[in-house]
Amino acid sequence: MSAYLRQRAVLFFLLALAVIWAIFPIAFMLGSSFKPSGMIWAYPPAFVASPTLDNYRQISVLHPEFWGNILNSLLVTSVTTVLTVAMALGSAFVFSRVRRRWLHVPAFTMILVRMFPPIIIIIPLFPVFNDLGILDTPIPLVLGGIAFSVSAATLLLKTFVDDVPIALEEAAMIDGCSHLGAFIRITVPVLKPATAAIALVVAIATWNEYLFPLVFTSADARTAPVTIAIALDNEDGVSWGAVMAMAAIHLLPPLTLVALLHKQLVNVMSAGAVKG
Amino acid sequence: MNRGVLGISVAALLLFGSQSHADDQDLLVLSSQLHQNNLRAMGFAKGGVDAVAPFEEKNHLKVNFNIMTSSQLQSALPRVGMLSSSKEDLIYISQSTANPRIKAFLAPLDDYLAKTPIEGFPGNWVPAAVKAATIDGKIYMLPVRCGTEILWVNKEYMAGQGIAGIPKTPEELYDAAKKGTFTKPSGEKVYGFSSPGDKYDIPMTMAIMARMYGGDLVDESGQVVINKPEAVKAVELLRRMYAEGLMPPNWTTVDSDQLFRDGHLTMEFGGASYLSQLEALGSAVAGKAEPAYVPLEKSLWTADRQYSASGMFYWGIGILRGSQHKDMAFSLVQHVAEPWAQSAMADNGNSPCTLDLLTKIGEKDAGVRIGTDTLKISRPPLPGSPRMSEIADKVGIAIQNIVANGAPVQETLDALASDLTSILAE
Amino acid sequence: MESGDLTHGRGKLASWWRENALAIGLIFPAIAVLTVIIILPALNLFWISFNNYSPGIGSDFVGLGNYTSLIRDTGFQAAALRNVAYVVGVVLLQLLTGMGIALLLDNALPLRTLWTICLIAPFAVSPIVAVVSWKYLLDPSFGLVNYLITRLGLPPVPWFNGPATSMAGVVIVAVWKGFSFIAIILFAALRAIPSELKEAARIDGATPLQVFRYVKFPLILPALSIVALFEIIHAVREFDIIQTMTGGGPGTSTELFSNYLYRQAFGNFYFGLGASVGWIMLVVTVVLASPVIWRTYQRMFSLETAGR
Repeated sequence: MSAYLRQRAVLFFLLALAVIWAIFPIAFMLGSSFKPSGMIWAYPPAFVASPTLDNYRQISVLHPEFWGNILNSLLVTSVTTVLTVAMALGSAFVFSRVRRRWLHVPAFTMILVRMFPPIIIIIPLFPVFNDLGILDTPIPLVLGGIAFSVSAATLLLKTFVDDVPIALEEAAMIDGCSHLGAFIRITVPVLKPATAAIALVVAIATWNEYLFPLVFTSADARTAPVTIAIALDNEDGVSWGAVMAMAAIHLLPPLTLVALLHKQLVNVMSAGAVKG
Repeated sequence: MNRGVLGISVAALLLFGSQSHADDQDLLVLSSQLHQNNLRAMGFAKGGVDAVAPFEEKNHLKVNFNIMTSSQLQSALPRVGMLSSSKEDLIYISQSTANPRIKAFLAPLDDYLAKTPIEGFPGNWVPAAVKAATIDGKIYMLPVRCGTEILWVNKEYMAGQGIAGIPKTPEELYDAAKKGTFTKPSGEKVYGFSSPGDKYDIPMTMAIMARMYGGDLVDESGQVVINKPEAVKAVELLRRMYAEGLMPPNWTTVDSDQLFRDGHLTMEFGGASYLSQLEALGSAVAGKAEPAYVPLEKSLWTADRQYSASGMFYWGIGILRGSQHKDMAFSLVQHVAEPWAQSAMADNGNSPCTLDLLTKIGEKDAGVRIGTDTLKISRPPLPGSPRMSEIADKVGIAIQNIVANGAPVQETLDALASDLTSILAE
Repeated sequence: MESGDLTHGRGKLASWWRENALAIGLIFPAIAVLTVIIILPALNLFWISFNNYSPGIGSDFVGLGNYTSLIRDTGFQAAALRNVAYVVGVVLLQLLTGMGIALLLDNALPLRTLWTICLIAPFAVSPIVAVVSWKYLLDPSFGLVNYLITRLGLPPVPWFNGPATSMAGVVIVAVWKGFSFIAIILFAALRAIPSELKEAARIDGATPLQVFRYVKFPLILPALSIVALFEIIHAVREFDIIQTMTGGGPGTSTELFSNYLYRQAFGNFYFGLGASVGWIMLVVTVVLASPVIWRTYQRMFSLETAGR
């Protein structure tokens, strides 16, 4: 019994350490975003000190463009996510249900491009986007977001489509559905949890993207991470209070979604890794 | 899947794409936060006068800003400048970017100036900045922010640590830095000295340090002298102060102006026009900061000068080659050059390039007065060269390697000097 | 789905089209985006890498010149070696933390959902926000971490004062950002192990360590290796954290492939040189990832899958 208790004690101690390691940097930053600006670099550092919303108000004074940037982030993330998931569902259906020799080419392409580092496309694409007149619009961000998410999403979704017995679709086809119709009516609803989790992963990647908006946007379409990074390196003096307030705002949406969808996330990500 | 959602998002994308093409008349300026703050009375200048608003009203358009850091601005210039049609109209160019290469990216101002001259230009402008703006006889930018770095000291800490007076020689600077490094009863650390230490700013810090000993990075004849005894002494001083803990350990990534403002430094090299920032709300050193000349080695003292040449910085505003509104862009340049706008910007913390205004501000601002005195003998840290950013990059890396990473002084500087010589010879 | 016989060529084409139109239509958008945004630019970059291209100065064909000067450049050699060390170090630490946490979670725990959420939270955090938070925590003079260290009576760590402590700072952020993903996957893999297996081993008198070594570890190994590969690929292309945290410095002591590329292309305007670094990164990644590329490709059309 005492050995069991000792084992439990060690377990809880380690768990406490792990939870602190994971959550403390987030919690401390959220807490510090409510400190008065004079207290942020106070020594000894305080966890909470006379909380105020001043830093959040300061955003409008020091970085008024941030609010528009957050809206851009929302727009780019939602459009990218919806389009990526739609394309991935279509491709997953084809790769799972259709058997044709020529499909090996697009399949291999999808697997291969997943390995390409995003930084390599910015040198060649910048002048092209300019000629098309789409620099500083959400379009390059959406295209870039899709390009670097759609293959992973397709491959992941395919493993879930594979798990749905084709017989279900065939039954619907006997009732007069086209194959695609049967897929949409029968299989897609079954895939809802997986689709939600994959959408979340795509959304987080797009929401957090830094390099593409840094290079492809300027005043109108810039997204929040770039503004935060610039504010962190502001020659006119870094206002840490405002930076932390912006970081907190940027952090909350993905954090909330991960908390809500954690179960699906765990299931889907692991299925992807196990089945590859 | 939900075709409705898909349709809506495509529609939203198209709508947004079309919306984001703001009014065709509007101007877009690539600048750093500090220029926007100076022009628009934002940030530290909150409550000042927006120098651009009358221009917008008169011409029925908006002037928008694309904010970047100085080093991002430097890398954006060729990217945006090579476009035959760019969304950006104007860009700020600093002393670390102004070089013969900019003529490929910017539209010369001469034709516009011939049509509608700017009053007092170039006579009333800081000569070194005008010279830097002139390439092959053509003018590519209007200098709008000029100044030198000076020494800032925290009077309270100086007195508290028994530092006799403001340091006048490099030796005294070291002694003051040593005494000025202490720990408050709360455990809070105060460092004796700092100067901007990120790679982008190191050429400036290095120029100030070397010129205290009468040395330089590259001398006026274009000779690389960064491995000569004077510069070596300067690097050794920097390294010694860093190694002995008189400077913050994260010197290469921390913002030293902010450390000074938060009361974490006894001395720093900083811009001559910082007084308004140091006195601003939220500053821990309001009423305690005092400007001073940069020290000079005693053997170099003369009857009328006992301070060093420090380093000069400038920012000019230029019109991008791909701008679609060059005429309007030039109108903005002209507006910014007007005395009214110049003094509004100065009130917002800008350090102007017009000589009469500099003198006028110097009458009430001790920092600017010291800066203007220094300006008369000062030069930018590096000469203009098409490969200037590469030179600056090499200097930054070498000095950080010596100071923070413990690389050998003379050997590293010799290698750096031979690199710079071969780049400048090209 | 199979077609009937058709006699002449034109009909064959028409019938081929009829049979494949749906598949083509469905995969076309994704493949088009991949081609336009990734493949064509990568090929264009390949061409640029053979030119000494610098905007404002000009462009001329130099053949393999960029590649040979890279190989001779000590800065690039150092960045490449550092990148290898970084990959090994970061991925090992991520795997250790991630696996440890997955093993912890795979116990009967009160409030397990809450702990799970806490432990996967860093997955949602953007690299930039992570840098903001850790730069604040790790400030050598006024940060909380050093304050706590000195309170324990230990000397403060001079974060970011040289190569070792700068790299340590970067690695901490990278591990913190990355371990959650591994923990998520290994936790699920552990839960998928039938509990009878673990019970049987325990009844046979196996210690927890033995249960791990002989039962759990072999069963999660496939998942572990895939995750490790993805983290390796990710670590090869690391950019955001280093760029915003140390800028590659002091000196170039924290510079990896991406930061070197960015500095040469967008700092020094050697686009051709940057392009060749990009292609070297690409080749390194594809070689490293070739097992997973091949495995995924083979499984894609294997017969036992696809709901049949």
